[in-house]
Amino acid sequence: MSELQIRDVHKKYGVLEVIHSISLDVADGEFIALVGPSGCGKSTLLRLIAGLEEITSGEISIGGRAVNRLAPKQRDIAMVFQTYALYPHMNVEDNMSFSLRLAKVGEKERQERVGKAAEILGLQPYLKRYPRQLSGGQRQRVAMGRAIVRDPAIYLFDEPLSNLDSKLRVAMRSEIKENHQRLKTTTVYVTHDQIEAMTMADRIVVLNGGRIEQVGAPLDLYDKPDNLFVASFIGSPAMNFIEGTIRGGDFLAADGTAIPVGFSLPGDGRPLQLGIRPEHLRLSAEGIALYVRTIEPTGAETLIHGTLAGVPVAAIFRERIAAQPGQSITVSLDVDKTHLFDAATSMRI
Amino acid sequence: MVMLEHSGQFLYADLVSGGANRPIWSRKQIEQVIGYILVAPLLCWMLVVLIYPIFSLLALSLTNTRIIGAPASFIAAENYVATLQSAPFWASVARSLVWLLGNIFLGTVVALAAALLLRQSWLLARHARVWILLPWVIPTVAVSVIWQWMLNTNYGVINIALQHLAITSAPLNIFGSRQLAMVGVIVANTWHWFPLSAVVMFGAMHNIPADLYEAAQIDGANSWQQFRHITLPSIEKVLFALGLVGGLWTLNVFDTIYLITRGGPSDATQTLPVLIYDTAFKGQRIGLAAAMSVVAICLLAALATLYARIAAPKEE
Amino acid sequence: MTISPLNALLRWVVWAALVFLVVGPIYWVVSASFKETAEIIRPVPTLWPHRVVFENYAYLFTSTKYPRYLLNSLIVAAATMMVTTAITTIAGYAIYRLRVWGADWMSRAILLIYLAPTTLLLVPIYSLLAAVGLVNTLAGLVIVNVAFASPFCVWLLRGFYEAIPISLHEAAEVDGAGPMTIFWRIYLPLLAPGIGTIVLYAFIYSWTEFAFASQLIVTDGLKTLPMGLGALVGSYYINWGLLMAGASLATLPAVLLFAIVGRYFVRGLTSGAVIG
Ligand SMILES: Nc1ncnc2c1ncn2[C@@H]1O[C@H](COP(=O)(O)OP(=O)(O)OP(=O)(O)O)[C@@H](O)[C@H]1O
Ligand SMILES: [Mg+2]
Repeated sequence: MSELQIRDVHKKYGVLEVIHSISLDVADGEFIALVGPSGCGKSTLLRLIAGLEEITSGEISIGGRAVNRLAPKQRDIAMVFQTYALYPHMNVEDNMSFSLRLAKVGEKERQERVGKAAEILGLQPYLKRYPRQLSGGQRQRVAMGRAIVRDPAIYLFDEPLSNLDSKLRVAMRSEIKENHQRLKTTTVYVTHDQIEAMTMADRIVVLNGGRIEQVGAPLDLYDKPDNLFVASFIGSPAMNFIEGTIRGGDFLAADGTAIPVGFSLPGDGRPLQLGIRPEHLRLSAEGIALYVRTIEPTGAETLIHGTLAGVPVAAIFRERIAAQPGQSITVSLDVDKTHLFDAATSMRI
Repeated sequence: MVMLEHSGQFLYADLVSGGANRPIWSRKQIEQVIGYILVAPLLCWMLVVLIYPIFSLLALSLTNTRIIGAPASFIAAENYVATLQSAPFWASVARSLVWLLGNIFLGTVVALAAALLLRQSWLLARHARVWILLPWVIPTVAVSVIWQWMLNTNYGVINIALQHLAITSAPLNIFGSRQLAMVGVIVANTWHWFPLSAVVMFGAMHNIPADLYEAAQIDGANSWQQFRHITLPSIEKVLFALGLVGGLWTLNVFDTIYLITRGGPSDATQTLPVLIYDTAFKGQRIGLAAAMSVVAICLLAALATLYARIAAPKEE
Repeated sequence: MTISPLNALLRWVVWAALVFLVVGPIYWVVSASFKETAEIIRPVPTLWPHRVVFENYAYLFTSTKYPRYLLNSLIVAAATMMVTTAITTIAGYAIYRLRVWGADWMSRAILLIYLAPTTLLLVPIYSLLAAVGLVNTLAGLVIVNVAFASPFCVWLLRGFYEAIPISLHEAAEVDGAGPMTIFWRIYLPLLAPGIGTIVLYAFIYSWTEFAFASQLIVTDGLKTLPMGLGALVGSYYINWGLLMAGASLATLPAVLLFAIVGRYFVRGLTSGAVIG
């Protein structure tokens, strides 16, 4: 059993608190992605789990055992660093077996386990090479291999793919995913790439300013963001927001445009934010005017940046559109795909 | 899948563990303890061999000790009075200043010129970056032999060359002349120490981004202007530090002078360290030498402070 | 960029001057050490030994205490080198990597200490060693040399430690290594160039040290090279051939060591983190 529990964890550097009361349960075998803007505390949280930083208060337990005061080596975790952190003076085989040698695992078993991991990762031809003689992708695989041979309770990844080019990134993404499906080891994966998070994770944790904004399955976050932050953070291009109020069944934007949304909310006049994803705008003969500023056809779809109801918006259409910048088109909103947030509390309504 | 008997493979009962994997000390505390054990030898060494002697120097300076170990009595500030009233002491302070300025001037000029050469990128320059240190590697006693030989009155190559070029008519007895002896030891010392400054200056220049020069070239700056407006400002801090460190080291130089001239002829090259050495071990007046050392240290500190006030590069 | 012929000529002249300045004096003395006495003191000096003789060296080894001095110097320098390397490497680890409490303060204090006026401390250090009976012993000399060589070595090590990514340390921790294992298995191998640097500095410091050696050692059989050779320099009648053979030979061990680790030393001096 290797579930991970984080209970009311705080982390301060001096007087600066960078993690504010985080609680999170990760089930055995689950793949969790931590996402959030730069500086929000993703790495810090991961390092707290690893034991590389001491928590200021709260409790972390792994497999039901409190590990607060345990050193990293006693926590039964493996970590893959953004820079890989391969030992430059050891060849691939020694890099991968270093932890086993420290744990006094016998020579035969060591070779067996390194061989197995090398096979999984396709590293057999490179076992005698030094890190400097490897490509970025190969180094990344060695870093993974070093974690795999350990067979730890938990894998921790800190942006392991961010130093790779985009093609390799996609390939490694599916490799890591495959590995997880094979090994079923609890994994916490930090990334700033939401596509990575969406495609790999069982659940995503959105962090902001040292707090958890929302935890949920990728599509749940996408379809039902809890608040404005998650709504704008998940999805690319980001969700469009229009300020306004509900007036008689319609959404009345700040500039006076009435947008039919099919809600039957009491029009109490609270300031609201209407959210609509770019792909949930439709071309329609009669609707709201979208003033086109740029058009970016990609072949499969057309991305338009423009102004709608006085605010800048992005829209994605399956159709090809002949409009020129400067012209207007008319669009309507997918009424069941709109999101409403309270502008004061930023919470979903 | 690679299986383990148990997932607790990496748990082990630390020596410091209070059982059941709950260490008494956290990882940070263990690191601190080990860290202090590791710095302890160095710190103790410094305390005993460097810091403690500074205090015992103060104590000695208040006694009339003549030879170490011999009985002596407390004479309060008498040694200090003697030091401050001693004409030879102030004369050697003045000589130390001449020695300092001569070395700093000559050393900086030669080192800066050498550093500019080392910055070139061809093969010779790249090898020279290492081999230029040869004069520094050579033991001081060999340096003294080299320069005594080179500047020898009768057989010295420099005297012979000077006469051949008709610059001088008779051979110069450099280390026998009150005026020239100082020049001679400054030359020898500069030769011994300029390589270290040259390499440090080169290092500072090497770290200047090349695009600064490219931008200046595009703006039409000539070599001198590039040196004046890019190189010099960029190595300003290093030059300042070199001046401080090099200056203090230069003032402490004892071996070069003593091995070549013993402070002579008569007392022409008797800088402060030489005077203190002679007072302590030749004149056998340890107490007085200690007082002179204390006064010298105060003068050094004052000079260093003054230098830092005047020459410190301004922070932008 | 093209270089005009005049510039090319100028460049060669300047380089020749530098090479001449650095190597000339050394060549002059080394070559003279292979000359006969008559050739050495010829009114017009010869550029190279017309007859290469080893009599100066032979005399040095058969009729003077030079071999003894050489051996003493080697013993003191080797011991200084080993002790300095050991204590500064581990101290550097504690200060620059384990970041013991007060590390910044220590690092600054060490910088200050290495400005310490060494010769001005001759008197009290002498009396300290006299009190514990270490005057006139090679061990006493080693103790002093280690103290004076160490601060600069710690300071040189800083750049080398900081060049090793902290993530390697953390990866090793996660892999199950404790602080000492990490030092042995990760830092020491990666620190090799830095260790070469301090080995060189400590050796050379001790190899040339004269002030303390000249006072601490009284017995002739315990003297080191700088004193032994220095005594020859000061004498009334100077046998130049002997002196130059002695000087050349005294230079050799330092130059040999420099040939091996000089590159690292220069890298240590020029690696950005030098001043400050
Ligand atoms: N050792 C430290 N001392 C002080 N503040 C720190 C320290 N380490 C991190 N921080 C601060 O903690 C906050 C969180 O840092 P963290 O590295 O966890 O961000 P992150 O989410 O991983 O960002 P990125 O996506 O850029 O990697 C930042 O504001 C950072 O400045
Ligand atoms: Mg990070």
